Amino acid sequence: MTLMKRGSKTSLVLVALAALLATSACAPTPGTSTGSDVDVLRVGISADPKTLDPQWGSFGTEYPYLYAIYDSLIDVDPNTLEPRPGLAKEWDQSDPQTLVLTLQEGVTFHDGEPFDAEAVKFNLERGKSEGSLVTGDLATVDSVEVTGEYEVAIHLTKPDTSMLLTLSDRSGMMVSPAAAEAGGDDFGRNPVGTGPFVFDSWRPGSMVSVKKNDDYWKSGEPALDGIDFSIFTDASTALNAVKTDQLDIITVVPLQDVDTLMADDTLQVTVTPSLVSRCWYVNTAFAPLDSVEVRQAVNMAIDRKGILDTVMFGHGEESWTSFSSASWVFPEELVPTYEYDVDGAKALLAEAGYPDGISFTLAVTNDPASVRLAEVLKSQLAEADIDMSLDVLEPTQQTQLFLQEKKYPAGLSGGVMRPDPARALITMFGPTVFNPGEVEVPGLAEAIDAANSTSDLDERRAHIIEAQRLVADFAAFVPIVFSSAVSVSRTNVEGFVPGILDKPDFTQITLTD
Amino acid sequence: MLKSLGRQVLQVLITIVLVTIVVFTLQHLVPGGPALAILGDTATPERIDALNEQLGLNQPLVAQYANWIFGLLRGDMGASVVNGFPVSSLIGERLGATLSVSAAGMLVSIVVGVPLGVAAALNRDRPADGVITGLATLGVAVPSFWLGMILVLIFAIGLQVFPATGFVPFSTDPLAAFRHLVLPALALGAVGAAEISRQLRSAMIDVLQTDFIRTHKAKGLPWRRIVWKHAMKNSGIPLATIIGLRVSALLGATIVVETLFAIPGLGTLATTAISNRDYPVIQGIVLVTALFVVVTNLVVDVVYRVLDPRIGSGVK
Repeated sequence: MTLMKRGSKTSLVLVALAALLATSACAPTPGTSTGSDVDVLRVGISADPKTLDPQWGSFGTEYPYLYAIYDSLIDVDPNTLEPRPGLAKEWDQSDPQTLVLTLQEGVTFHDGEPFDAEAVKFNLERGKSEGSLVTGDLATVDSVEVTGEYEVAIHLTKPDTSMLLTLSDRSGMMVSPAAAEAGGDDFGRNPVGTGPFVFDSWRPGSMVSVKKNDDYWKSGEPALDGIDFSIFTDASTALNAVKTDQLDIITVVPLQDVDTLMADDTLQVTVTPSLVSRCWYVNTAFAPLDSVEVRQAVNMAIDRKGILDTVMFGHGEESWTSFSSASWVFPEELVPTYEYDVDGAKALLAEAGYPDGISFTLAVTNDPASVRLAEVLKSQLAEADIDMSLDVLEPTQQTQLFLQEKKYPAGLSGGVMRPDPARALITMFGPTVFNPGEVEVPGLAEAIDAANSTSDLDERRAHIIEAQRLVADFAAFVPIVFSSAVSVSRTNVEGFVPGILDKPDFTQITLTD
Repeated sequence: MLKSLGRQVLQVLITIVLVTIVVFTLQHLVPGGPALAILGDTATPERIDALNEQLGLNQPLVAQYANWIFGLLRGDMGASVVNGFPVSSLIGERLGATLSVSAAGMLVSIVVGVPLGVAAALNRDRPADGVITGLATLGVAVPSFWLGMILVLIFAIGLQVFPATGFVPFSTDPLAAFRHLVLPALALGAVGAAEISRQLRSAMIDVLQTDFIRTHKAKGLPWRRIVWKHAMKNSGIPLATIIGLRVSALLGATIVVETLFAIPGLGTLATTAISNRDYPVIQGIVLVTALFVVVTNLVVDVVYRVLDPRIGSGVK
């Protein structure tokens, strides 16, 4: 074999490789587009579901999947959180201890089984049974009575008007009784509901696909032929995918990129108010945060506007209580609860018996945004002689060590989100796992009970505002900011309504050409 | 020969068992468990206890490990405690992606590193050598995540010649598969290319100074053949060692590249499983990865013997 031949062999290989590279570079960038007459929405979502069973799951990131596959008894307006007819077309709670629902007729589950009062009874009882994670939501449900083929009466253990909006959440999402019984533990991987889309496939960590429900009871909906939820754990990667037309829409967007994105003509950006918040949960039995004055002082030593401008890049609003100006229970009369006042904070600490300041450790989750926020808070508090150290932990570790093992006086996280504001308050500050100090906020239980004894929205609002005042007086937590909801989508995506609960619903979207 | 092969297989098995024991123990020592990850907001002490009981996590560690081994012997790797999918199918679906990306990265390392190493050795102390050595130093220092981001910025978003994310199996669409692999392979392969070129350079320099090379030159053999046949063969051992080590390093590095390019591989499966404390999945991944690394080392051993028949035969 001569040298020439060997040399030319190598060159041949190199030329072939170069040709392949060049050809592939010239080919059009592939998305997962299947042609313009089949409209499948490509959504970038930040986490895999753990289960697609609404009652056996608990994660906020599962809602987009659930809204596609299931309908709930009560629907909500995504911006005002007012109740709207869902699978229940009418409701009556004139007796606050009995919620009577009149159901839509002619609805079938994806497996062909009929949706009726028996199905509702099955679902609510399933929600109260062992294995269900929504037993808390249904705690006041005593029994479910079928009073007609399409009518149920839900008997409550005590007056509870927060039950209505709660049924817009997981506990009100209706699964097919036949499929749930037959599927057992596997139902969560083969979900069957009445929703606008039918479950098609789930490749864990990769993609969940749903296809249009041709027999959907709301005629004309959905406009899409299907939705492919692709899992992107890294927000910047998801953003790259939208920019290069591999995805149509994402709703987890790095805040620092928002302004640049708004200048990009090939993309649509929405920045809307939301109830999503950053705050400290406080163990009110853990020194030095076991004193009301100390907690008030900490609240006063935080420059919320400064945080909004720096950490949130201006996208959001200051948080004084659990509800932002987007909420119908926003307490204009109470805000601001703690004006930024470093000297005032120091004086209060002295009054509380800490003239030289205090020190403690905050439990923080290890994502960059939380760490950044915690460090800014640390330097702000230092000016008021509050020496705060940070322990950066994995999210499950933080839950374990702060909430379960009670090893920290405070933890940085997000406020509890529930469709009913009274529920949100009692879940966060009442005798629940979220209150590791197990100290009662004086008067809170009574105010919440009063709010839940009436269906009149103005009366409810007044009681819920009173509850917020009690929480603020007791300084039961340290609210910081509300963040805006941000979405980035291609220009052919229309009809997306972000909503204030950070539980995006993609089912109403249309793709124009 | 068969005796030593048998001995090596036994060593392989023992190593794998030891690795799984160590990881099993470690993951149970780390605070937290899958219960919290599964229950999230709804976690109460009662629920956590009930779930731990249901998952068999209250049994002594030895019993849990034994259960896992017995399951393995039956061909059952268990199921994810979080979503219930069988571990074998979770790993099976993602193995292809990781192997493709790792192999492509390895290919880049070799195809770029070997010629550069040889060129540096041949041009020792001349400008070309300086440039190559400089690049190599940079290559070792640059984090693959950063390099990946830059590549995406320039080639995917800027020039739009390669996709920014995703993985396509070769069986589905070979051309698309190739295109999706280019940027991840470059990001992964840079460090390996740098290491290979440096190692090969110094190995080559040593070899080129030996008597037997000088003898070949004196005999009038063409320089090209001396370098690529004789010198390479004798530099083969350090090269094989480096490649073997790179394979193990690559498997770890793919985690970062998979996250950056949203490639559904073992790396992303592992990170999710670890934060969820999904023990069966973690054990399964460790088992598969350990098997892979150990087999690779076996292959390297065989390559040694091919390159230098003196090794292992007892002849000095």
